[in-house]
Amino acid sequence: MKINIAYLYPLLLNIYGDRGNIIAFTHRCLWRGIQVEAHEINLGDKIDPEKYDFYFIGGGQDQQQIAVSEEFQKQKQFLVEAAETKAVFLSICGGYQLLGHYYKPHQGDELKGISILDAYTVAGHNRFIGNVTVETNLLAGNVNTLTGFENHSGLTYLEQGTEAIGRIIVGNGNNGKDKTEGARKNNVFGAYLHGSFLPKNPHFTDYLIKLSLERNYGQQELPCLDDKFEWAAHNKAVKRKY
Amino acid sequence: MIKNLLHKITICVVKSLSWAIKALKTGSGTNLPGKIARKLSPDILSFLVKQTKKEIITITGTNGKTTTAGLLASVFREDGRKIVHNSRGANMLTGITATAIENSSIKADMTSDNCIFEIDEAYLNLAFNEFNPHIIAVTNLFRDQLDRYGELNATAKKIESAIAKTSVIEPLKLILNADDPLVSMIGNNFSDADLNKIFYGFEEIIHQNSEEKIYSPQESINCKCGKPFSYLKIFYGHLGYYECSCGVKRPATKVFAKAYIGVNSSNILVKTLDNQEFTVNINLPGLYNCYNALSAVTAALEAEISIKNIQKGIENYATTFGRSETLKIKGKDVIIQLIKNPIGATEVLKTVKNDDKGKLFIVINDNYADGRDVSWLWDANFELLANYNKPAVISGTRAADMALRLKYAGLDSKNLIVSENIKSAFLEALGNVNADEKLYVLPTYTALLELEKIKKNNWQ
Ligand SMILES: [Zn+2]
Repeated sequence: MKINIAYLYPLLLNIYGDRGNIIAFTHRCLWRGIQVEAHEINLGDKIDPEKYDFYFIGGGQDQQQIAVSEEFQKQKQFLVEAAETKAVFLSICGGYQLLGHYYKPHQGDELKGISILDAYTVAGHNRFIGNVTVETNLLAGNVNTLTGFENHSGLTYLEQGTEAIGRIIVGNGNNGKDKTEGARKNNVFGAYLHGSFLPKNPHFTDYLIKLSLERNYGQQELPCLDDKFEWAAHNKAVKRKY
Repeated sequence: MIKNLLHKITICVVKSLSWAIKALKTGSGTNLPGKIARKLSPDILSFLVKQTKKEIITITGTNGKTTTAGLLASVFREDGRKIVHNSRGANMLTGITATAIENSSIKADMTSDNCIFEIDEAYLNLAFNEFNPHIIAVTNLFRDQLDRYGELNATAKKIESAIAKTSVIEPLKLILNADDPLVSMIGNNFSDADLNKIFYGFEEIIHQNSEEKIYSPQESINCKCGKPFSYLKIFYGHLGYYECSCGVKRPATKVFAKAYIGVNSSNILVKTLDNQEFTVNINLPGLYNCYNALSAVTAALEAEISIKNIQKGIENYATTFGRSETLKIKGKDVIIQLIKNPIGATEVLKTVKNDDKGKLFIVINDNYADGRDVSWLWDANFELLANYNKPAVISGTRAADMALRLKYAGLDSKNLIVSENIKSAFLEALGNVNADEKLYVLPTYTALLELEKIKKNNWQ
């Protein structure tokens, strides 16, 4: 079995350990004998929606986010097609904002997204910086906490058709008001969780790996791994003071 | 007169307080004396620093402030000057105030030739409310894991607004790292009459070991016109020869050098526009310390210090605790190097990788002064240690995160010893080191302060 990863715009959107998500996803596949090939997609590269099973996009600074928003409009039809054909997306922070309809900054034009999540983001007046713990019901029969570190001023609101990935226990999450964190629509996921997110949430990583395999190979069971270190890091971060 | 009396009283109070703190061994890193002094006499820092006879020099930037300022202080001492220097990395106003008081008599006289202050980027503005520097050196602007400053461009702007506050009769000398696009752009909007920009940078880096191309974390840096820079050469992080299609590029340098990097020391061949040429030996590991040295060399040249004293001062520099300092502890070699962000940490890891006789002790805390977010561990290139096949001891409040990072970097889990208590973990790590080996201690900032306390207690 093999998974093709599209790592979207790593030269532009890649802060606060976003790379760690690719490292964790890749290793947890390789340790189980699943082949992985990670392809970096940069500005101007045409995206082949048939080729990639898992898309990852991270966060970045304002200027870089503007560049990606513009590029996204050129690639939109391919990305929409990928999402419609069950490719899996994980987006963090700035990348998450651009999978929704738009990001509206304090000044200047709206940054357009690609609307594969029913969500929109407006610039807030405070920056949310701190540890986050989320309770999720996506991972039936497994540990139900997710943990990470948020660092954002954008306030994201979900619309009908898209659900949150979980409910905030510690932290602010999407907008600091409605206790939601992240977004999910079919196989498209967004979150404000740095940390890095996937390394210390191995159950969620495995969930994404299963979904990525399902596209070509149907439902697969993953062999267990020795996750002593992963859970130690998870447990240290869960319910950690904001 | 009354004012002066107040300063004298403040100095007496604070000096006795400092002695009491020292006697109680509560450790350094306390900013209580400085805080009290500023409460009692709000303009005490200004009053003392104004007495400086020659240049007041400040060093700022993300990485390398402490070492650059330390190298420069060593050079100035070699030149026979009496200097005031905040040597312990206490780089906010309270720390600088405490340093000034330490160096003044109880009559409120601070008879020094020069002040050499490292100042945190965010406090530069406040500092220049209280005194005027003659020379400012900016080392680099990397993304810190510290989340308090937000974006890199914002930090550059903070430095500019601080510069705008200064008012010396001579144009202010601004010493800038030409290889860092964010640093070299600082002060573009100032006139030459107000600001004399002096650039330094490297032309070539030669590594004695490891010629292989290794991944270094990189910041994507955009030109002012909005387009990302392209690079002809990258030395590390985003430092190198950059250019933009709009015509902006790395500026020409007044002081330029070639670096030859060894395992635990390096030397740089320095040339200047006025045809001087000399070698400087640096008894510190890594390219990052070559940058610190070149920054200090440039500042010293601007203060008209002789080449001989520059060479001696840098060669004889005794490191500050935790900044590449080599110690003998219980008969074993220990080198302690603070790590705080991905680019800096990756440079340190290159040194560890090249030392077959090195063993590791990493301490990661997530207190406020460390940055609460440990995400940066995933941006640092710990994969450099993939072939490290010895026990490694990991400690600190976020030891679990560090251990996980090393597992995914390719280290054997069986070699990873996780122990949150720093003191017992340190003793275990030291115990694992054989006579012909060396212990590399890589702590975050508050972990370093804890190690300093253990040192004060004779490593017990
Ligand atoms: Zn340009």
